[in-house]
Amino acid sequence: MEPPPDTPPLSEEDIAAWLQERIAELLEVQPSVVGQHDRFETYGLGSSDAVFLTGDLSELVGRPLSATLAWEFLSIADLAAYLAAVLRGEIELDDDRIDWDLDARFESPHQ
Amino acid sequence: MGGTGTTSMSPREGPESLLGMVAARAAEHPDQRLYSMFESADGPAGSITAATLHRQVLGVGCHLADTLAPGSRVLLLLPPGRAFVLGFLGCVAAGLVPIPAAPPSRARLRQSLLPLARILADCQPRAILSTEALATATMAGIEASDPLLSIPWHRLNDAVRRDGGNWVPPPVDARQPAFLQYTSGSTMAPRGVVVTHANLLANLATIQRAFATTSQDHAVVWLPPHHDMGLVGGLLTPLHGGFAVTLLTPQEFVQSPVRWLRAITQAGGTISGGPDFAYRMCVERVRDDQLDGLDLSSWRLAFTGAEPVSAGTLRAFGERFAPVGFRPSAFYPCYGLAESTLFVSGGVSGRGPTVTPLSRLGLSTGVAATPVDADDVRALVSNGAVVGDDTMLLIVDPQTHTECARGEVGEIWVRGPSVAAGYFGQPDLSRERFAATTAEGDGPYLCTGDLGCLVDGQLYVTGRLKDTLIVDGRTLDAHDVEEAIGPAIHADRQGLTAALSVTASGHERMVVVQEVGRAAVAGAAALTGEIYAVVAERFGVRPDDVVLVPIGSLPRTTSGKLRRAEAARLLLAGELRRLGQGL
Repeated sequence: MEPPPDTPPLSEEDIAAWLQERIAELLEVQPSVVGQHDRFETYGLGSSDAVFLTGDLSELVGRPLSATLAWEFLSIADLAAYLAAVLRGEIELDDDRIDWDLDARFESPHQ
Repeated sequence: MGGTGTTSMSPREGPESLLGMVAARAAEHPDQRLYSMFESADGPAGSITAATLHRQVLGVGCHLADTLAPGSRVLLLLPPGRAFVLGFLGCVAAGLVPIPAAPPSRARLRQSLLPLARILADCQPRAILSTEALATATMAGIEASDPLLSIPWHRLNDAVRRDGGNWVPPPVDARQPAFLQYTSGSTMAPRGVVVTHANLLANLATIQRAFATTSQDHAVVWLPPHHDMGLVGGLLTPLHGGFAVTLLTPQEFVQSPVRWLRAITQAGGTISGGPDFAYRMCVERVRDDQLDGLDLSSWRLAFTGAEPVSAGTLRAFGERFAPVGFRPSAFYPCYGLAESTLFVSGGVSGRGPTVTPLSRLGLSTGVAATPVDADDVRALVSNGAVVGDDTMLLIVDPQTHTECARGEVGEIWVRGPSVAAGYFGQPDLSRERFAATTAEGDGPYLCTGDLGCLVDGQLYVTGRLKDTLIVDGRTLDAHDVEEAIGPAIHADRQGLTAALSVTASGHERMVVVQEVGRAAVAGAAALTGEIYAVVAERFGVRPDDVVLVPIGSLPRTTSGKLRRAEAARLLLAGELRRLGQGL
């Protein structure tokens, strides 16, 4: 999952292009139909697709990602800008996942 | 290990209760890791041993019993995994009635609160049980006037710290509710199925027999615990049978379906399953390079239920994963519903599915018949037979309530100890649905609302009663029409098809709504023409209208199933955006 240490981090453009390609694949349309600045909800991406996308994306960027990430950003461009900044180390990955996943690791004191 | 008496069984904790099962597991094998979290890249695996489970369940029960009287309803807003297991069992130990529900989601807070508001209004719980993190995040994101804040919240984090070693749990009355199971059905109004302790124990015994479980089994579960399959089948069946479970969250599975198969590989899982869509997701979304390292040879029982079981899905999954050890004979199609706790019928474990080609035309006239030609084939997967002699299953004419002849399609009626007490707070509907009698005066039976027929003693579920379309005097099953259209027009995999019956000015009209991707918009006219043609050719009727809409427009349940009644409402209200007209 971790990218090799020597490769430069993925750029905003790389991530955006990857997302465009991947979403087009999920929708079974041409990538050109998927606009990088279109709001996510206009694609009609199903919720399980949106979650699945975060799984693939997490492999791409080599970090665990929240399953609801796609709901937290407006568009491909938005999400790509955020992730690129995370990869450049400029911002921390917001890993405060109060959702299905985080609390599943609920640790109890007597363990 | 603190506390005393954690491994001894008091007379009140006989094995005939959930708490009794927990105590029994702790007494037999205190160090057995009953529930473990699958170790993925996301976080450390945690596990809970039988002894710890028993101690903490008593702690939670004791904590809740301080302020809540037995019989009080408690809404569970807990993440799947250990928190849910402890919260649910702790409530049951204290004689409370837990109400499992999908916990609020931070990213989709507003949407996730809607169903909770409906549940609150329907059953007015006395308390909410949640975790510190989830409670804090939810409270920060909701309005002060939100009804969720009018009820006291309990934090599991505090509750598990209690020493319940000397606490005496209240006695269990088998006729009292063990929990309320809200159905995620396709209708708007939530219905809380009242599952009694007796129902639950009867169904767990039935499942143990049907699955032929032993203490050597190992379950792998990603199903949401607030659904009947995840709760009864996923969490409680192993507790009852004394075998271990490895848990993933539903989102971990959906994010990357191969994790399910990796968990089975890692744990040596023997029992695992889910609805048809889960198997389909694996076929479509597990990449070839992800097959490396998988070993599914330990998987002896792959249950599939809660949705129509597709012969195509079973075949595709079997072929795709045979090279990594999956045995198609492990498939275990079954039928069940929350109104009967969970399980109603299933096959014989290890024998694999029975697929029978039946006539589409015949089924549309209500009879299981031999297909006339290849186009007429509807390959139906058998949902097995009832297990044990305490459950009866009838196929009944829903109008006359007379029993159907063999091979005739009718409503599936069920009678037995697993049939729940009714819907919470709805005595009239409960009498109608849970205590029906046949024309001969035989009863009480649960009217499942599902259509099916018996062929060679095997149940074949053919559709939903209320999803029946009456067109030109013909009775068509909406599922069947939808199933026929999608592949025939090579619809996008993403796109749902809805065959709807809408009543406009007293006239029943059949409307087909097809979701299409953007690429299909150009060919809209041709596509609608094709849909008319397919329906005419296969079913001999013409829809009154065919409507194309963008992918994602049709309302779905949380598990992605079409909400047909809501779709019809949107269509009538003009709230579906039509494509191909003026574009």
